[in-house]
Amino acid sequence: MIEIKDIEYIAKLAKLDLSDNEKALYAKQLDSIVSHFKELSKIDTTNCEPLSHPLTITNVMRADHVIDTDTFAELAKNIPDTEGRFFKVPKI
Amino acid sequence: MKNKYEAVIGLEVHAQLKTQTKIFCACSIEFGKPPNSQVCPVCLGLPGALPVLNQEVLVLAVKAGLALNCAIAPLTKFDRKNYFYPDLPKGYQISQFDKPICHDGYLIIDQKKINIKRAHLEEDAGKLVHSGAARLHGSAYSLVDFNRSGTPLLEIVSDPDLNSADEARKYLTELRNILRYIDVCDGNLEEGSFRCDANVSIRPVGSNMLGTRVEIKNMNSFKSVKNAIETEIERQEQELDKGNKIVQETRLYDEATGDTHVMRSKEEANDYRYFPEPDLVPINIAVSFIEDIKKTLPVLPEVLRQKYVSEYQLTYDDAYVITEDKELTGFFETVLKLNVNPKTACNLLLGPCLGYLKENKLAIVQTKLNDNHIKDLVSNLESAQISFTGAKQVLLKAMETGNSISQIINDLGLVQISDEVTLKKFIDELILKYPNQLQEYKAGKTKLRGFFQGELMKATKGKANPQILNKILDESLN
Ligand SMILES: [Zn+2]
Repeated sequence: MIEIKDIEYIAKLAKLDLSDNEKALYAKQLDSIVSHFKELSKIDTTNCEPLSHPLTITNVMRADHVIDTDTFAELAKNIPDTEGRFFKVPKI
Repeated sequence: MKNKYEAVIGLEVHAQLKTQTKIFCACSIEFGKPPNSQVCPVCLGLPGALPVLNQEVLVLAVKAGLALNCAIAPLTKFDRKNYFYPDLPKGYQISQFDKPICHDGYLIIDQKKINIKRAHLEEDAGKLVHSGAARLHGSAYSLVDFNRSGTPLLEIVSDPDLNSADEARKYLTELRNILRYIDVCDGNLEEGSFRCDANVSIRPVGSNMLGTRVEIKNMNSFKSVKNAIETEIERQEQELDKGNKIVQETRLYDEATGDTHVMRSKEEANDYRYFPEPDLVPINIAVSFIEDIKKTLPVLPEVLRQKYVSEYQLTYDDAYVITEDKELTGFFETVLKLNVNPKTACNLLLGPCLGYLKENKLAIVQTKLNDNHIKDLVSNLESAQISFTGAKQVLLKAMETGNSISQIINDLGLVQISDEVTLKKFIDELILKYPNQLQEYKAGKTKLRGFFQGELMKATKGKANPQILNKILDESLN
């Protein structure tokens, strides 16, 4: 059973500020999702390799070649605040 | 005083892999470039950008795994480690959770086996700069440079098999040494390409229980690792002696004070909610791929040490010092190929040569010394042309000038006098000069032999071959 305190914990980790109504709503919705997984876990998977990716392809890689990417001027247009060549962020 | 407690230490090392580009994008990882000059949508975590694995990362990780005696996973995959921090642009770090690329290895320090639990791949975060100006203005902010974001790291996690700060230092030295030998990581601590965190706990001697462990971060040199661990062991001993409990927490080491202070306690510990990275497909590692990499591995330091001890009769300590330096080992090996007495060559290299290298912060390849210098110097020593003290001077000159050994010996006027007739002349002169002393000697004051010996060394400016000199001196005095 997903409770309000679980929602509050997840919201805290995800840095989300939720209203009481939202907490109640998400608790209900998440609970039905988790119940569905409980249903799935009834299946016997003893001889089943865990699936790590829905696609069947593997080993997609690229060569170790540098592509020059100094596009700071372009980039800076999308940075809310800069100082020199740095991104400026609130102090931690 | 016998210690009541025993320390139990595990180390986590982040080794930066020696690639050209980042782990999931084609940005360069060259150190020291202008801020944010090596960034792209992938390593900045911009929406829609997709990571693609750098194949060299796979090669280097397997190489490291093999050198650390690890099993290599036939199937490996990436996972997201979720947390928020301004140096982490995506809000998660791509790492490996349940299928690390390497696992169950070990390395040997002082004949003791230290197990390596796992080694997994991950991307580095960016770098936060807390500018002094920010504080002056009173406006609280930080600056971020994402050049380092996406740099390939291999996190190597040891089992808690280390029992002292000194063992921890030795483990790190050996690990760094191996990674440098196989050319997987440059091991540069100042530039952050080899970083270490420690898990420290203590328990009563003889107990098998594991105590509550404390994680220590922010140690920037081998010396600070040793210091930080020693300080932490002492702190825990004092807490237990006072009847207090050790709290599970993360502590930061302060280089300036040599102390640690709390960064976060267990209650605040992160819950990373790992899940498989959907943007990257799994990687199968074929046996043939592993075998090919195995063929490229050089002989590892510990194997060389055993060889030097058993075949060349070096002491283990001498063999250790030689193999601590990759370039020096390479040089020593080429010298050995010239059929030079290994023990003498080793004495020359570890004495004057290594001292000079350390003092001038040079690698041996940066000096003008070559293998023939050592060969000639050793043969001059063996034929007693020069003394060992003289050889030291010659060696230093050879490193500086690159001139031939015979030329340097001439220039420095160091040729030993081994000729009996010449030496006899010196002795005859001396006897004429000190007739009284000779009489006293003959009357039984045999201590005066040392007096004659000293005067002779003075007269020959220390160049007399001591063995021949002694022989003729005895003949002349008696
Ligand atoms: Zn990039």
